[in-house]
Amino acid sequence: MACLGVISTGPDVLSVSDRDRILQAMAECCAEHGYRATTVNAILERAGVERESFEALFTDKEDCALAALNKILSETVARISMLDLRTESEMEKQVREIQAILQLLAARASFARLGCVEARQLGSARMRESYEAAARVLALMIERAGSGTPWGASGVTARAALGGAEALARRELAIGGAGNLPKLLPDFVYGVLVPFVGQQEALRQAKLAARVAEEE
Amino acid sequence: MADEHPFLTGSDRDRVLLAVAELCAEQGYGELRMEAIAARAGVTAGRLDELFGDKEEATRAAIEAILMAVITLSGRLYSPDRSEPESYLLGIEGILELMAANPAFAYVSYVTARQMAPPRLREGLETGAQLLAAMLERMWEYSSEAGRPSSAARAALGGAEAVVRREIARGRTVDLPRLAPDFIYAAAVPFLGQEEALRLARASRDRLAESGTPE
Amino acid sequence: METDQRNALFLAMLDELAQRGYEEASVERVRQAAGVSTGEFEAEFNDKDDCLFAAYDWITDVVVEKASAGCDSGEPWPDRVRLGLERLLEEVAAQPRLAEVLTRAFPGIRPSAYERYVALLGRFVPFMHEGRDYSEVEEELPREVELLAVGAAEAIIFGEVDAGRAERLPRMMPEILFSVLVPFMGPDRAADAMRSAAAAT
Repeated sequence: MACLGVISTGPDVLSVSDRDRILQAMAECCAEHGYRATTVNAILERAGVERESFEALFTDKEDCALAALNKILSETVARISMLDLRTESEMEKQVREIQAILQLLAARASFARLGCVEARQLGSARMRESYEAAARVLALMIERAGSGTPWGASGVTARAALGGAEALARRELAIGGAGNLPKLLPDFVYGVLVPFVGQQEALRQAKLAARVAEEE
Repeated sequence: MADEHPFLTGSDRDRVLLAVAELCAEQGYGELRMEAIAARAGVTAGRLDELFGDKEEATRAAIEAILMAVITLSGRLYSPDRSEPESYLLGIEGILELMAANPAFAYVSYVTARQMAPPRLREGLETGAQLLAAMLERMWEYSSEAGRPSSAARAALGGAEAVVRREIARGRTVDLPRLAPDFIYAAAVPFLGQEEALRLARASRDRLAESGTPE
Repeated sequence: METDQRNALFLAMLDELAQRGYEEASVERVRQAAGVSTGEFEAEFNDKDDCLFAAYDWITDVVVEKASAGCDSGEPWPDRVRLGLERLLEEVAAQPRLAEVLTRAFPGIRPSAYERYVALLGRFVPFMHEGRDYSEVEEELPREVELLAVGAAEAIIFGEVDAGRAERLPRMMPEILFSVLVPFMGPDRAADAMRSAAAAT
């Protein structure tokens, strides 16, 4: 992938990695202690950066949390968008998209927790809005995929199907990590598809997904 | 109809969404009536009721339809063969073209949802703004510019939104694509610097010239 | 402390949390509202946190009890789910502030409080197990179907409570019922259940 711009690595220049390190530290501190109890000092210590570096980039803790949420939201959208799905059927595309999201969440466990847990119920109002935007986007994608199927799609049905997936993701994140998420691909696939394609087809896709999950 | 409105099909639901958007643009959300929507869409009152309980739900769906179109568009533009910043900036062009091709929807999304309608309708617009800002922030990964404030993305988008709203309100939706080079410059400069931003804006200008759109 | 008095104390504590937030919540005010003396309070609770957490445990018991009342009534499982859901939504709509405490004000205090919320949702999972008997297909359903069903309802209920629209929930019951039943029964039969539920209201 061609990159625009040059990444400078001189010691007196604030490199890109400082921002990334701060966001990673933010996500980890929140995952461990909760957003409320997380302080900028704790973030600085975890990231190994000076306060000036933080303040050059973010006005406060909330600003930093919002940037971290934007990072996981945009990375999710980008990952899904960049899947090469030209030859797949609609349903296979959906399964691949779900798989991509689970893999991303597993790879970014702290960010996953920040997005699914902290932002929803343990953070500020603006963090909540960020969570809601993400949920709305995903629900819309489910709704759209469901609209061509026998039972059609409704806003409530799509949001509820996403809710089921969220509950499962939250449980995994709570019991110690997102690592297991990709193995639960069949359950996620079933839950998202069954309202729209019926039990038989949803189970068939879940079984195929189980094989896919094993291969990776 | 499919050409003019590529993200809509001939289904009942999509005809209703188009009717809602057109009527909103013509009369405003306040004057919207279910009977008028049904008539414009060419469906029975009963069918309309099946699809949407009230005008707020119908308008909400219209806003979400364009939001979904924007998401789908970004999906098509992001490619492993192209750098992310380029994909994003092409997305800006794509969104402006989408608005130009669907002026009634552009009106509903930008003008109605902000001013004249219940708070619930703003949610769709806020989601769109949030998504665009989040994707723009990905430019950080490609940036050599040090210490830019995190609000740079939101500010760039806010500026663009204000211009878009003004043009839509003045009925100049068809001219929106011409603003692409300026928007691209504004979006790119905080992250990629002036030189790169100017190069990208020039490329956009060239694409406009190729497509026969005068500036 | 008498049970009634303790319950009044718990309700006052939760109300105080709703009104003032965690930091500003005052044990003094709560004690006075419930007519509980300092001695009586300190005999049972160490501090604000102790009382708050006990209050949450108590109210969640009440919620689960109300939603599951009549669970051994012998009616078919889908009907029992409908009744339980109906009751739950009515309670939420009737007491939106309490619902807000249950879903946001308390869980938001800190991660250990949040875990109680997750545990509350988990308590509905066993009620879903019987749904497997209603499957249209021979094959065994995926393992996590119960949690998917509970999460489906939770997302809608949480969303409306959070948006200050709890009063809409009873009207949404048929649609929510569909999403709860559909992983077990498939869309056709879940839609039937939804339609009869809509017709009955």
